[in-house]
Amino acid sequence: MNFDFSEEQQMVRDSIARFVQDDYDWDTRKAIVASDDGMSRDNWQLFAELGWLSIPFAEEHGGFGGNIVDLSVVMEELGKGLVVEPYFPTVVLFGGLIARAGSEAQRAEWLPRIIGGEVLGAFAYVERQSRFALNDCQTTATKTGDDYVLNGEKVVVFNGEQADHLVVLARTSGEQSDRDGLSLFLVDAAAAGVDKMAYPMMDGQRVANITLKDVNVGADALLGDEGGALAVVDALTDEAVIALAAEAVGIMGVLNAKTLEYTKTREQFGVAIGSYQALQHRMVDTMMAYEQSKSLLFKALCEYKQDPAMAAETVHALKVLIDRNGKHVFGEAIQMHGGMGMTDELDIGHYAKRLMMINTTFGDANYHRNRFIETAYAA
Amino acid sequence: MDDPGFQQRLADIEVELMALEFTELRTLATQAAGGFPGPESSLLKIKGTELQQATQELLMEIAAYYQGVLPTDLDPDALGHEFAVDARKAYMYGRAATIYGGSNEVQKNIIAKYVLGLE
Repeated sequence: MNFDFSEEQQMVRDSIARFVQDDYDWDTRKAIVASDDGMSRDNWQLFAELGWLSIPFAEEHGGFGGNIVDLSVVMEELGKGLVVEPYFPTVVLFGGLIARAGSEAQRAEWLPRIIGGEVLGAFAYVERQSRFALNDCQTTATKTGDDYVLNGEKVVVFNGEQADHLVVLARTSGEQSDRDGLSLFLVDAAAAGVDKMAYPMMDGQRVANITLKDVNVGADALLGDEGGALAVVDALTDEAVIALAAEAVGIMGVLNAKTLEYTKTREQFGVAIGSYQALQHRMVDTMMAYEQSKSLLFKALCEYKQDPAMAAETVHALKVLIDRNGKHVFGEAIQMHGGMGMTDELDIGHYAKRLMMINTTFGDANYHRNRFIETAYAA
Repeated sequence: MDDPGFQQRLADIEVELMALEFTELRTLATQAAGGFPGPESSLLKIKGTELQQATQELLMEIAAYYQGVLPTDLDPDALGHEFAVDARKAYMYGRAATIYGGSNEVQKNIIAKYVLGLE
């Protein structure tokens, strides 16, 4: 088997790595996180110019026509720099849903704008009571004539503060947790009846709770088939989990490298702490955790690239392993850095916080272990 | 709470907590009998802080997406979650528990040297 990346993938990787190294140092990132917008629109334009926003989209819409491997290369490198600009919410989720479910007209309208960096998007799918159950949806969309009227509340919407447009998951029929009867709608974040309450998260993201009160949208706002959204969202979730796992692998690699460097230089009782066998064995464990995560990511990539349905089981396994190994890696990174590892000044804790948010996004280890059991051990 | 995977891990913590309580009582009994608390206090520190972190981790899992919320002046009703902010604070501060007061690595060195006699 050949696990080498193509020349094009290597170029994208190098270009993001260069950006992180030259233009996204720790102080710059800190200033961006603390700024009013919590992101840099100049950076976003740069991402558009460099073609990063086009990676997963079809060439007919001005995209790069990339596959899951291309996307994971981008995510891994963005992860290494803890880049807070909303690539995941806008490109992977918002753009991903339009690319999957949108009509030809909707794709032609929206994808070029995403690629050009003209629109920031978000996917509003979590509710107070839902946890990770995407089908647990109380937000409603009621058909009135040709239009729909949306009512309800979505919480912890990634990029909810800055998004110009949202894809909202709403119920067009059925009961609260039915798997049928869910639909996706494109909603202007500035439309009448849309109210957002933004707040910051520990990983530097800005999220929002978004309330919808008699929000009127036309029939052209419906994304995909009425009542059939769950299949689309489930399929997107698999891709999103792989993308997040790639980001997590990038982060784990950075944490291990920084911790290794620290144990080689930090002296205690007159010697480098890395000279103690007890710590050496633990450094080996974290190295293995990283390599193991990368291997399972590669398995998921190979399967998904061939046929997304093939990857279903591996995607659940991947989320379980990323959660467990991520906690192991950041736990050891903090512990071995001693008290310093927790401070706001050192970036170790910030990498840890991003891993924690990755772990909970689209289901934590416990959730995916249950899904894995259902998928793999089904009678 | 009715999730079997979650219950299993909660039970694992509970089982160890029950043992920890009696390790603590044994230490106190030695003291009450006029003895000095020995190296078993290192054991208390190691197990106590590990279990503390495990419990804090479970609380974060319960908070799910909300676990990352930073303190703001939003009230819990508007936010949609009661304890997420406190859970996150406790979890983050809890990371220090295995480091301060003689890190757990140092505690293990103490046990190795003074209890097990390893030099």
